[in-house]
Amino acid sequence: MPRLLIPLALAGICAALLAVTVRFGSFVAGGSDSSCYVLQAERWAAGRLLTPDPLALQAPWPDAERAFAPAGHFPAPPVRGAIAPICPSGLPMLMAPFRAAGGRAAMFLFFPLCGIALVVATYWLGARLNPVVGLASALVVASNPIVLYQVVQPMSDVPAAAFWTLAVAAAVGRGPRAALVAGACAAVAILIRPNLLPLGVVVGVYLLLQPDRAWRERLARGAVYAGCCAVGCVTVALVQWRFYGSPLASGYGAVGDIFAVAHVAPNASRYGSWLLQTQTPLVLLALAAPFVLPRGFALLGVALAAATFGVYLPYLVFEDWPYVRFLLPAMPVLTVLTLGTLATMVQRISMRQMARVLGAVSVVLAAHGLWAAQSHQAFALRRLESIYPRTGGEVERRLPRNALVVTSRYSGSVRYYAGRETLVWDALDPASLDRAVAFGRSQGLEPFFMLDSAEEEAFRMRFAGSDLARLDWPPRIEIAPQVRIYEPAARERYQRGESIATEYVR
Amino acid sequence: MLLTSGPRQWRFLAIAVTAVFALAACGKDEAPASAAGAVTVTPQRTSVDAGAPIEIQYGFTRLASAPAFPADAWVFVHVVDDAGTLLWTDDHQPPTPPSTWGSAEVTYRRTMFVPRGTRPGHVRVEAGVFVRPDGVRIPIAAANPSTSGFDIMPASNDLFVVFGDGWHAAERVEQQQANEWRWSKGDARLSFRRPSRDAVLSIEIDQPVTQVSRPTVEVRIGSDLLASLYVNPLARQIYRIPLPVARLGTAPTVELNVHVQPTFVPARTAGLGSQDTRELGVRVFNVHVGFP
Repeated sequence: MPRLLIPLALAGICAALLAVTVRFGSFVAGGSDSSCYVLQAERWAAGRLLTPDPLALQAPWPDAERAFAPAGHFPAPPVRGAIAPICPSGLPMLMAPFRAAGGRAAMFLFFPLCGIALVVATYWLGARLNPVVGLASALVVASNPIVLYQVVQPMSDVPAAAFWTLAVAAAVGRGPRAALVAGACAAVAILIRPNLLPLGVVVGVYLLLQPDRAWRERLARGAVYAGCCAVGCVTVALVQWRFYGSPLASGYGAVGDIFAVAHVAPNASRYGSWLLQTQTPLVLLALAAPFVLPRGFALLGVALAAATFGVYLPYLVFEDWPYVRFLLPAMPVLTVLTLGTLATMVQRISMRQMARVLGAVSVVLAAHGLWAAQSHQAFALRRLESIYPRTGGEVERRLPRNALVVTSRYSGSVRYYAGRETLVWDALDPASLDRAVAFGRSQGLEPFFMLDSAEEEAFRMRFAGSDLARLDWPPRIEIAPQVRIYEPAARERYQRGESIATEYVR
Repeated sequence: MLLTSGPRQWRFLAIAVTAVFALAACGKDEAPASAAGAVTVTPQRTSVDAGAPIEIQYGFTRLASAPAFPADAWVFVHVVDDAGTLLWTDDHQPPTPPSTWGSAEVTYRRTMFVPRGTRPGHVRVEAGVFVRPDGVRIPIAAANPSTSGFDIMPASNDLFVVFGDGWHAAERVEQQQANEWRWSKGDARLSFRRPSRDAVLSIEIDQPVTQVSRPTVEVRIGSDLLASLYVNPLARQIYRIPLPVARLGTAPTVELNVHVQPTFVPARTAGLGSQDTRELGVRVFNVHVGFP
């Protein structure tokens, strides 16, 4: 293969992935996860991490602080009235410099860059076996449906996978700084997803057990690697201590609440079938890698994949396909093992056919990946999530600056796009809706209810004792058409016979 | 003489000029084909609130010299604003097939809802005939374009209808404001301020799933049955239910119970291949309470 062809092809794959993120990217503060990352990145960039909200401190109903925490947040245990993120802080910390340097749009540049880093890292890892394996693996990973699904969102999956793959690719290298680079990448990966620390242990054990190196060298490399990882771990501990009051606490709750032995069997079944769907059954070839590929390399890959599975098997059980994203850090390694094994087997039959077979297989896998991504709506996310910036923008334009927006689904987007105070209704004491409205008014705020049509029934049920919860007067604004913004003060006027106009935003 | 020109250069110039004219000609509209008939569109009101229904009378004639309309012809209805921007459509199958139309005028009335998000202003209704499979229009002349319009007033919320319990989230087809709906469950509630006199409930319903038997919709106030609606499969239809004030009770708010039988769950319905686990009754596109 001509020398320039591989770099050019790799650049082409990266350019294509970049084009996908630009064309289909849904870089919004929307649901719980994306709101958490984006709002936290803003706070890290501004240097305001734990600022008490006076409203949360003064509100007169039980557990008031929880209602003032927007999507992806909860009351910070160490500081009364402040909010802490549910998500880990590594990703927002990495986004923050982009935010500080280039504004909000620049903050989202981090994600396409991570997508490119993931592709390059996969190539780098595969090229340890053979450059053709590297290129084929890069193509397959770039078109992996869950990669395409996640790279278009402000989520931590692709960044975590990119840094873990970089760490592994560096660890299997022979250069003098391999351990240092591996450790630095692992530290960042741990910062992004602290629960994947066992992957770091796997890489560390690999560095200690490399049979072709002297013990002294192994220990030195292991120590350098461990030192870097320790920096990541200590940073995580400090951040968690600050946000959650304990270096071992996380925003996801107590370990006993989210991990259980009973989850293992259902998760094994789900992740197994999702993995086969996304990677095709060809991925099973990776299990043969220890018998075909260099033993240490293959065992490292298999162990890394097993560790990733192991971390998530006892975790909460989810029903939806996109949760296969949890396995994303293992997918580049599995792809390299699969294609590396295939290449070696073909090579044994015909040396000359290897590149052709690998090229054909990777193109077929890439086509399957694109089809699966399309059928799983990876390229529709931008449209589906556009409701968040749209409604946030309408709130910004149409509601007064002193609006207190009582909402749930849009609490993150209203904070981010409109900068208005929010009150999360499904975290509000069921007996306190009227009290919350009165309290808002007493603080000089104008309360509004902002509800998705899917939420209205639950809203009525939660606050069944309140007349306001009947939502029996015309909304002030109806957006697109599933979002309505009600002005509680208008109900009384409507009851008196006044006409209340609705603005329809389509 | 600064430029010399030989026959070769003139030939190039001639070709270039011809090409420019040919390109310019490509941008022009084709000459209109001769009309095969005429249509009159007569709104039954001169103004209507956004969100309310309006009845339109359509009259079609086919020239005796024109060939019969195809059996699969439909009527298109486009509502456009003064700038000619398409606001919404009401394409439909007319009560008598266009293939049977002759030179005698065929008239019928049909009600459509003005989407509630429509901006106030004057609109014009354009109608004609098209062949449904390929969308090709049959040339028809508009007989009364200057009187085929009506004014849209801001939506009146005086008798604002509240979707209470028993409704799924609002859905829509992107960019089509006349295609917004909510699926009902088996039992759903609508409520509105008690009108001071007899009123009419207009409700536009369909049930687009053929694998399910034809649903019946009962509308009640308490135990008082106001109407039983037999929903035609696949057809989006507007039903008008009289609301005599004497039957509306004395409470300030009127609560209507909408009972749909049978309901279905798409994920459990053979032949749909759906993962939707919601209990679905009928789709309600528009609902309006007003005075007759």
